[in-house]
Amino acid sequence: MNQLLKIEHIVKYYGNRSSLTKAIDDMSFDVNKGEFIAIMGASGSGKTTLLNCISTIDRVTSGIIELDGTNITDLKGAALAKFRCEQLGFIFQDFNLLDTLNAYDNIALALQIQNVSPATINERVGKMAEKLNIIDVLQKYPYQMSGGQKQRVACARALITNPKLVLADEPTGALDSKSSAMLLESLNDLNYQLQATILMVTHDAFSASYANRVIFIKDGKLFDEIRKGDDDRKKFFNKIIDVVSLLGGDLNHVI
Amino acid sequence: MLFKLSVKNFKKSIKDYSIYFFTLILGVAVFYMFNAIGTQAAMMEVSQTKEDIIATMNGVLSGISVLVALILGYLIVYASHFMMKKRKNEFGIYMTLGMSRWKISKILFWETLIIGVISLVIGLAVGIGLSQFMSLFVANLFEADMDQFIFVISWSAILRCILYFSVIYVGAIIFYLITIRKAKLIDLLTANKKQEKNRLKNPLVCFIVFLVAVGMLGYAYYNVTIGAEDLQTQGDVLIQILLGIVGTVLIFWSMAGMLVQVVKKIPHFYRRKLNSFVLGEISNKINTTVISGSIICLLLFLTICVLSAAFTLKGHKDGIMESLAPASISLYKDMRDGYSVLDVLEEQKIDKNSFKEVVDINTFEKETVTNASILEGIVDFGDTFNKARIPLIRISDYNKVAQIYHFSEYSLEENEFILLADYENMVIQWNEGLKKSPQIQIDGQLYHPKYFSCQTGFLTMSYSPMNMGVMIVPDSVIVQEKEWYCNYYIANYSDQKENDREWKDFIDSDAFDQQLNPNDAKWDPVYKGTRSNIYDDNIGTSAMYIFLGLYLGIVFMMAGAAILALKEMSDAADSKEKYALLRKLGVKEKEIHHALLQQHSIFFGFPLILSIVHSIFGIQVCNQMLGIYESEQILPSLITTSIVIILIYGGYFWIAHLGCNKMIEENK
Repeated sequence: MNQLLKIEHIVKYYGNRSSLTKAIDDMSFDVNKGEFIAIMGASGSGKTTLLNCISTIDRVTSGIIELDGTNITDLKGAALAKFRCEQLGFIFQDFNLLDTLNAYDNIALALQIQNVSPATINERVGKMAEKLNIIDVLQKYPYQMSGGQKQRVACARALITNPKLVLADEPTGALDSKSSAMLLESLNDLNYQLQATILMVTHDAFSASYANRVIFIKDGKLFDEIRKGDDDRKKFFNKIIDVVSLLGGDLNHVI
Repeated sequence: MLFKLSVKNFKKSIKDYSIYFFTLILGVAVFYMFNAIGTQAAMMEVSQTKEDIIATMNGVLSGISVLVALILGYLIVYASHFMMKKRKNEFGIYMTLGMSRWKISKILFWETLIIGVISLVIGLAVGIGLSQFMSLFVANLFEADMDQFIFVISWSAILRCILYFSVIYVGAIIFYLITIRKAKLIDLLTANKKQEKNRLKNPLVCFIVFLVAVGMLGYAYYNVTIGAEDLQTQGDVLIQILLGIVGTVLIFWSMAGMLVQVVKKIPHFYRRKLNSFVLGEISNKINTTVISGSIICLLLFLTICVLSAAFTLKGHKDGIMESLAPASISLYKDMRDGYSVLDVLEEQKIDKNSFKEVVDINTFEKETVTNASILEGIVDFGDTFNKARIPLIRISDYNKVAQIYHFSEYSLEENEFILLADYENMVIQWNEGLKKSPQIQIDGQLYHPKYFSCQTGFLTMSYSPMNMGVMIVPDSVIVQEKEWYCNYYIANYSDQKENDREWKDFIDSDAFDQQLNPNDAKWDPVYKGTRSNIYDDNIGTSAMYIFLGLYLGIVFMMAGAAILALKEMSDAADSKEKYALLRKLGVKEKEIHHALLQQHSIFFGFPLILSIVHSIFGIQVCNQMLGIYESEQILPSLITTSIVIILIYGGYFWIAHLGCNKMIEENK
């Protein structure tokens, strides 16, 4: 499989000379095209910082992040905006839908930014809504939708531009277990059908078990990495739980 | 400790609440400036008449100041409401840390005190500075000599500022206390997360309401302009005003629901870049500010009308001044007591050589020439009016008057007469009557009108056109001794007296009236009109209108613009996350600022545009009410009004825009 994301010796420091925090301390890993990866770690382990660096919201102190051969740590201004809108899709814990727009307009906005024609937008939004089973909520406003619906709309917005990489930050964090399962199924399907590469940050072993690979980080360093391989989800879940208990810390509570 | 916290909070909030401070300082400065005009005017060398007007103006300005203080007070409490909204979370944290409500109230008290004192001091400093420029303007408007520049500080205005604003701040503190008393901890802590629900409206209902609103406004517009003559009672006028207000509110209400629906029908526009986002935000904003938006629109409308009316009136007054006072002095008295004006002047030892080009003529009455002889069948104002006699003047006497006043002279055939008047309402009636070519009878002889409309003119000078009607008849009309009515004495000052300022001031003063009409006079009073009095009165009153117009206009506009700006700032603070999301979606920085500018322009522009539409009709009504019909006075006043609007409204727009831009900037 082709390599999509390459992370080489990245370091991220916060603070000043008197109090220095190493949020990420020399981390390296690769992501291949079409992979569904979960990143797990306790609070403060650096998983959100990692995601922020990959999504160009934050800058690394040193190291290289390459997406499809482009070093994204050098991007600035308009090039950065172009990169975000063409290559990345975002899914957030609190959905981050625009409350003054209905679901359709929220999804369409991602395409409008790329200057796609209204006819094409209509066609693509329709197709994506069908895949995520949200056709009947398209005309609703965020406050009229349930959490699960909101998150699936957010998913549609993230995937509609066919991004090379989808970054999901605790996507199930604000959902009940049934909605979580539905959303994760959808992500799994999208990963499979559209060959979308998904990088998901979570501290929930259940969510992580939907991925094909789980990366564990602790204190800003890579701690472990397990692959699903041919296991079924239950077996994979148990493997994850084993690592989590090895890791200790607050991840124990989620079981 | 609490005081220290208050000081820190104050420092922190200066940046966030630039609008609040700007408004406070501007409010104090404007308040000071207009209250100080009296003191400034007192420093000027002006005539008695102007001094009287300045005293009146001072009274009116301080009366209006109460209204202004109320508006500013409301504005400040409204602004405090926004400040509180932003800080609920902070107070929640204080409470969870175990701080009592009493202590939080104390923090707020200190903060308001600090803010109040600082804004009062800065505002007064700014006001005192600006009022020095204002004094140039005051001197210019009152046409006073400004030989030397005097730095004036009005202590009475400062005291009034401190008093009024203290009351306002106390009001703000009470408002804070009530909010804190009533607040629940959970609400305080979660205040930031509360999402404003945008109430959805049925587009069809919106469209119908919009049509109804347009209909209401159109009907009211028609009634006050083309159909103005049918508006008879106060009730009729009130209905138009009510229609205007309700129509405005409904336009705002329906616009919010309709805007997006209509634009959605144009996908090539709606689905381009951030347009859908901008429209959604705007319609949400209008939706949540229907009432305050309408009030602001009406305030702007009032401002435009008041300002343009004030400036138009001044232009109009300046324009007619020349024609109101074409000679130096005119005196007249009822001569049926046997005294003419000249007799009185001689009796009171007033040097006749002070006057030149003297015209001394009389009017008379005939039993058969009454108001009814012209207006029979046109109007009926009752017997007193109908039987009142129209004063008559012989054509040769009138032509003497016309000569000194530079009016056109007339000639008459034996059986003709001319009607002369300039009092607006009477002229209208006369014209109606003359159209029917009424015949009048004098000593058995019939006369008919030479002109079928009333001629403009007067016999005695007054502050505004007041001549109710004089009939010019041929010299052949014979006057019996008992029929003489009034004696007129019109003159210019002699060359020597024309340059004698002291003497002219004396003639203008009440002392001269006293001399003509002493308390024990044996004669009926002599009435006086002088050119300098009329000029000064006109200059004075129009200056008063200008100041009143500016004062109210600036304050109205400030209030409206500040409310919009505060709403913008608070919205921007709430939507930080939205813009962060847009950045993640890959929207360029330039486009984000563009979207913000679009929102602000529409949010500020919409009430302005509607109020301008209102004003197109409102100004016509104002001018009609003031009796001004020439259009050349209106254009300059519109330009002046626009400059004031651009300065204040535009200033607020720009500050709010810069503030919002800063607020949504990426945290680094």
